[in-house]
Amino acid sequence: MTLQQIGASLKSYDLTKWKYAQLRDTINTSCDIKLIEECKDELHRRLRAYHSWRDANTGQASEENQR
Amino acid sequence: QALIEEAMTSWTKQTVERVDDLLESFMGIRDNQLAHVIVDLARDKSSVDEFIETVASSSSLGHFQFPPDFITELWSVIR
Repeated sequence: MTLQQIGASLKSYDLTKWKYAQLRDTINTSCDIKLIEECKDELHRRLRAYHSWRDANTGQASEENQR
Repeated sequence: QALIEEAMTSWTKQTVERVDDLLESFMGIRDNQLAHVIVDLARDKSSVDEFIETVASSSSLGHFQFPPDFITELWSVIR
């Protein structure tokens, strides 16, 4: 394992357990570019999952239900 | 009978609302219909482990990849 790989693994978080506010606040306040990107990816993953569910199961969900 | 149905309706409404609150805290999204689906899914489950397994393997909810801790939170407000 290279030093870069060790550094990457040390900085890698399990963001699947983080709440929305934790991800949002980290994106807004952190100086860790890699962590910010990971938080954005996690938020986008959840949003994609939601849209996928909505498209498959409702087809008529109103926009006002979303934030 | 009418009183029981009224109580059930009231319970369902309150529970769906609380699940919706949890969804908002986890995803930043409120969706009454999604909350309803989750409450319905928990109805006939006898344990949190069974509920976690059901949500994780659900064809419609599996994509969310909800972590077990969050599903346990959902369970605690539903049951």
